[in-house]
Amino acid sequence: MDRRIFLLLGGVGAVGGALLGAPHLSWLQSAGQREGSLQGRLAALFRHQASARVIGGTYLQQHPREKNVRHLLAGIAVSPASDRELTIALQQRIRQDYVEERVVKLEGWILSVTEARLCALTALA
Amino acid sequence: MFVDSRTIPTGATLETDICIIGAGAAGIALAHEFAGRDVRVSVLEGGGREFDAETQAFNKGRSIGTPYFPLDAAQLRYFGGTTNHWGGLCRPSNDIDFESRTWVPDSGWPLTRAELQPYYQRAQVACGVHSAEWGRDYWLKRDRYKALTFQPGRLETRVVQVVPRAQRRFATNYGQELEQAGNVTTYLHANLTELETNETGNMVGEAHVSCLSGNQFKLRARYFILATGAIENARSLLNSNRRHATGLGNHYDVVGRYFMEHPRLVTGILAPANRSMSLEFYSPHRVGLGGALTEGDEISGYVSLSAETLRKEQILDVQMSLAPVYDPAYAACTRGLRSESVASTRVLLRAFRQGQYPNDLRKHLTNVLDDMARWRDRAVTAAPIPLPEPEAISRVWQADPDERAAFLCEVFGDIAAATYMEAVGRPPLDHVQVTTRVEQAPNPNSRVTLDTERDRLGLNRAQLNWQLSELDKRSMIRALEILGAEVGAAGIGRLQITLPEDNTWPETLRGGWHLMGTTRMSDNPRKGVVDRNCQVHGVHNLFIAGSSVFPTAGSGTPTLTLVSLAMRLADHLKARMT
Repeated sequence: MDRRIFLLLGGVGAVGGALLGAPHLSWLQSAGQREGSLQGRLAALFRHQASARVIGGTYLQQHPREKNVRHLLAGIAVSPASDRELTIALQQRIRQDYVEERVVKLEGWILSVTEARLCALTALA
Repeated sequence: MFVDSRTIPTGATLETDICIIGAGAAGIALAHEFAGRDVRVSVLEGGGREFDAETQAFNKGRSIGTPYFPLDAAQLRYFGGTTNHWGGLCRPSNDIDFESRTWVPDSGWPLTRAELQPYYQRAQVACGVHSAEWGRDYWLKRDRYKALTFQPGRLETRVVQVVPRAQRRFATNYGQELEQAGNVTTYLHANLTELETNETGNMVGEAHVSCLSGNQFKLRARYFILATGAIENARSLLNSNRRHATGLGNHYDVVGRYFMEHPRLVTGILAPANRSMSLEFYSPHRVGLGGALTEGDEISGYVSLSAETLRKEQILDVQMSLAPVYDPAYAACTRGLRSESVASTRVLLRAFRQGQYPNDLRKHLTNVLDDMARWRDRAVTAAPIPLPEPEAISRVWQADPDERAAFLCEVFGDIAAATYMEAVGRPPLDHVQVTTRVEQAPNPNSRVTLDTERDRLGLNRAQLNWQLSELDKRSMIRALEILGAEVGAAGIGRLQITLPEDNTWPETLRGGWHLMGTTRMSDNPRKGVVDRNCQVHGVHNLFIAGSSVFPTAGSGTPTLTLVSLAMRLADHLKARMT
């Protein structure tokens, strides 16, 4: 998992605000409205799914007990709202993670725990 | 007056009031303080007025601990001392650096920051620092660059001032003054071999001096000040062991201990959220007149932890520098910005703006014209003026934005590329390199002792055992963790810590060329070599100047603080002599 992955992830914010951008939501509007697809909707927020999967895989290796979609969704704790609300809620949660230092270290990278769980969901998708 | 000691006959005994041993930043600052006063001052300098390899070899020594710079590279033995290769970065220490901190063993100065403040103001002038302002906001108001915005509380941006290159050498700044001062005699090529005390050992009577030419003489003085740097100060005391087997001032085995540096290495990579983020504030840059083609006061920012955070986290002071690493596609342009032709353009523009005739006009014009001649090859043949051929213009115009500047540089030369770079601001960032420097915790096992090998004058060489502690490492890691969380919260980017978290240090670890400790200051003779007035405990007329007296290192640069302490010592002696 190298620096390139982070640079790819939306010009940066590995999984942060910059990543949860509008271009992805068009896909969500069609695919994401299916019942029970919160995992898919969250995973689809990534512009570079392959990179997110690498990060997610690393997180799950470190936290094998979280290798469970339900567990990860519970940890992320967002309710299926509109795409816009979902994006804003995640951005706020990620920022708050950093403010309160709810972070994980993945091969030295310091990521918000929500970011890491979102990546893990992508890896499991 | 300068005297070549090689002309002094062997067996001579000279007399003075104050004998300063060493003509580096501290020694020269002291001599400057006494110049023109009604007191005789003699300065003993081991070297001459220029670098000389034979004399420099006295500074050779063995390093047996954490790998360190060759000792003869870390100190300079000629008039001006280490200021002869000083980087010029200045900043006073912070309040907390002087405090006793429960989580930092042996921390605490016998002085407060406030007590040193008046001397900082004098030292600032003496060191050639342009402004007495150190606050971030003061500089930001005048700067065209911005500092990063973190949440208030944990991180702060601090500013160092950079002394202009032409004003860094104390030898140049004060050489003439000392030469003309009727009361100051600087003995060059005069190597201290021993400080001889009276029977009881509480007064130094004479300094024994030897020259490489073979002649030896003595200097009697009322007061002696040792100002030869952290390693040599300890070595001189330890080698003055004729009456005291363990060395002078070393009743409690403290001389040479607590050697400190500013351990420094690249510790992280910041992936920026915005590739056009400005980090110029964190590199040395000029403030005041605006524009890279002009001159003003030079400063640089760095990121540090607030005093409250250091207390809460119980860690040492840590300094984090942010160096932009630009997209490699722009390498040709960024190289171009540092080219001779661009430097010549700056000189010419500055001279014309100030209505002056530039020095070396011919050289600068040649540089500029040579650069511009690069596109003669691509000029339209037979045009009355050198117009670039359409294909070249088209190539630049159609290039990918990331490659445009590189083409511009290749086709039209460095000045064109530099002008383009000035216009577009900066190349896109590839990543940001984070270099961390920590205040090394005082550590009695980090020490200078005498080696069995001897120098040409028969004195034991220095042996350095630089030792770092768990607290040093933990402080670095924790500071980076906080930086990682704060850059995430501020939307600046994501940080990768590349420093291993085990007990090892990577081979890339270096010091900051800041040698401190070894004759530390403490009111308790069991914990320090000198008292709050820099007087060696138990030796009434022997004082020490320089960063060897620092009880703790802080994370800032030491020069301003060591010159402040030298000024304070000068005042102490002036008061004592009246």
